[in-house]
Amino acid sequence: MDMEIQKDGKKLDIKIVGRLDSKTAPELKEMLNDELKDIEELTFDLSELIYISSAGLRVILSAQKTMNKQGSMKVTNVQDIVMEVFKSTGFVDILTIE
Amino acid sequence: MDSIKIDMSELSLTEQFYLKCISEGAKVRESLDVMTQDPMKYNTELLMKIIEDNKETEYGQKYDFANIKSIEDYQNKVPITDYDNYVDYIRRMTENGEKNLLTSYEIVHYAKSSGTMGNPKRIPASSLNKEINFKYNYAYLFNLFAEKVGIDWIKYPFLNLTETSISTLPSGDTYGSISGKIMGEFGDQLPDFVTSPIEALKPKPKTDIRYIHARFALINPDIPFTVTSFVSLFLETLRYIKRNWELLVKDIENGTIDESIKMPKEVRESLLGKIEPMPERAEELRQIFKEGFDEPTVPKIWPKMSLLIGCGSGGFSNYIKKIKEFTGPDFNFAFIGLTASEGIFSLFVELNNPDSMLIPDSMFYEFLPLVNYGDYSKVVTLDQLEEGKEYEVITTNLSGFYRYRMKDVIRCIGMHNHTPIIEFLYRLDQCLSLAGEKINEEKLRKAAYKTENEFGFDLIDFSVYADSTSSPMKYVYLMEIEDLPDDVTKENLQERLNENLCGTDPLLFNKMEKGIIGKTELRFLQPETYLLYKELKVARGCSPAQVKPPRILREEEDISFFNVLLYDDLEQDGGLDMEEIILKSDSENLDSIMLKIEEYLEDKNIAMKSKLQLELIIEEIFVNICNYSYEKEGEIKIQYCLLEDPLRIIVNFIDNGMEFNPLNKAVPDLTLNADERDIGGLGLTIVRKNADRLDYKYENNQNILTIEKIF
Repeated sequence: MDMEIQKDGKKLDIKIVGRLDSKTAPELKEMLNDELKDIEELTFDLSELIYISSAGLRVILSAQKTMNKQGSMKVTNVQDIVMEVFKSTGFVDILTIE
Repeated sequence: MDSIKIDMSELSLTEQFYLKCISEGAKVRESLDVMTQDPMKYNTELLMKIIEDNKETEYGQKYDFANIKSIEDYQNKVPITDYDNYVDYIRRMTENGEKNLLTSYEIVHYAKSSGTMGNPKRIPASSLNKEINFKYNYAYLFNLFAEKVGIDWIKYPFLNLTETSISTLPSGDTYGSISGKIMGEFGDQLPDFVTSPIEALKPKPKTDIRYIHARFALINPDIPFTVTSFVSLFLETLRYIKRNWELLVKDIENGTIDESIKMPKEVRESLLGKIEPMPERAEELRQIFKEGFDEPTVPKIWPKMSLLIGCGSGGFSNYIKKIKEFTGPDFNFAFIGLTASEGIFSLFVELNNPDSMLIPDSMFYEFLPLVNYGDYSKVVTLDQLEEGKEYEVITTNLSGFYRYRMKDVIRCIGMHNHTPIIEFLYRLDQCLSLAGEKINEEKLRKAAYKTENEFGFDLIDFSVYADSTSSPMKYVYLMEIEDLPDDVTKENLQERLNENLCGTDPLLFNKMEKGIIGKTELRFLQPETYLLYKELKVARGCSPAQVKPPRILREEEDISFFNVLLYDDLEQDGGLDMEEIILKSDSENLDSIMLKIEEYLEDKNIAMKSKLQLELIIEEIFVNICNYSYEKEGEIKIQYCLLEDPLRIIVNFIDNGMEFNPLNKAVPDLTLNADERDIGGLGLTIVRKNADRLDYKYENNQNILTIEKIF
């Protein structure tokens, strides 16, 4: 997994490339722990996310919970295969997907 | 206990509370001894009192309580109900504060019921219900505990893992778990009773509660007992300590809270105000943990801890075994019996005994023998229960529910004095059947744990559903496991699991022999799937202490939730292990691909027809890429691999040509003549018809077309 991060004041854009699974999720989690403070607008670009597992979903859920309190979060460019996971797990009701 | 004169005014409130419990408890035990000798007399008296007290309520008038003089009258006049019958009343009570609808008793609280999907129910609890709760969940229990270990512990706070979050309804009543309500009433004194600070008992969102519970428990060596809703929460806490002791000890030593521990800033600040460096205790703990966890650690960390109070029947027996690995064998359990939001249904007979007996003055009991399922003219009262038989439970409680189906199934397993001892079997709405057999949670659990023990892996949790769409129909187990021994394959486990499940139910075995039901299938779930399930429930408003693992899946949405989170080779290896060939984009090369695939599929027992269909797909796509993708010539990479369950092949076609998604092409107009037709379009129709999945993506300047063909 690779991450491309762009921070602009209170805006944070994260592009996740590759696979977000139990091996790579801790990396994203740690990054969010460090970066989310004071962020009011968080965007995940998932155009190149090809796989997401339970562990990855937990990190996304936890980011959503954080952003519910301090601003807003959206998820963009979700690929079909990941979208299928979001649909089946009910994440479509929780996330703002564009 | 000796009777000693104690000057109550010199005691702390904690000590006063426990002493009150212990002395009240003596009376409760005496009165139970009397009542259990003739339970029907006291249970009938209870019903008549409820009827008399509630004859002026809206519900009482509707069903003519005033003219009910016997149990028979009651059964003739008042219908069997479930929650839906009360929804409108409860809405009026909670939103408008209307009184005297279901009950004349003062409603002091609304309990959030657990276990079901969707919106949690609001179950009213009256002041009488609360008294009963105090008598049996506190007074009785602490009297028995004091009898066993004396009263040296009463001045020490205990570890409380139950949730005390309580919210307020529009009517001004409180809403939340019953235990939370009682805890809440300790108010400012709560810190004297329990080790965990308010930050863990009434947690703010995004607070790592496990850390706080563990941290504040570890610094206190004198904890005498632990209270939890489900015993699994205690196990979770112990496992958390095992995994994170270094961090915990370091924080205790320095009086810090590690940066990695999640909590809102204000929570962190307020907690930091409550702690200071404790190097001595930290050193003590470090020595304990350095010795490892092979020996029981609880007696070393908390030498006085000798009791766990929690719900322990049925599904939790496996947790008990695992808890004892931490506590050693000399540890006491108080299994709080069958306690529901509707009231206390049964009470443990003694410590460490999972048997629980009916309580003649807690609720009025009726039972429907399961053999008469659905025919409520066949209900019996508690004096007619027969040992070994199974019953559906119907209760009339002290909080406005009359002849209410709790949807629980119990078995009568004996008598305490003349009062039935019962064992909780399963929830009625949690029973699976494909062809007449009844597979309940108990059987599913037995088969799962037996398999776990036989192979020595760690079963985190499991769920099962009945797949009636497959042919033949079958049961599907979904398991999240850890530490699977290297020499064990999924097929080994699946085979044995199926045998173990058959062992629990002869009818299932019989149907499988006849081929009516197929062999049980096992699927592995990804790591952290049950954690995710729990967190999602919490995100949707369930209270964390109330989320139980869903052992039986019925709803389509639950089934697809777990099925989309399967653990497969992808998760393990970071990608499929694929065969690969690279060819020039020349349709002459078609034969060499075909040869390779042919070789690859040899000995795989695949029908000729399927092979031909696959060849057709590959041919169409390959030729299509050769013709359209490159202006002159380029390379085409072909990756392929076989997957099991069901047997299928995945083939990727990758080229560096111009971006071109063949799947976007419209379905060809077959009415046009050959010259006018788009050739690629027609080929695609053949591909679509024969493949089971088609995906296209453009990535890193590559066209990637994936096809999947199930054999």
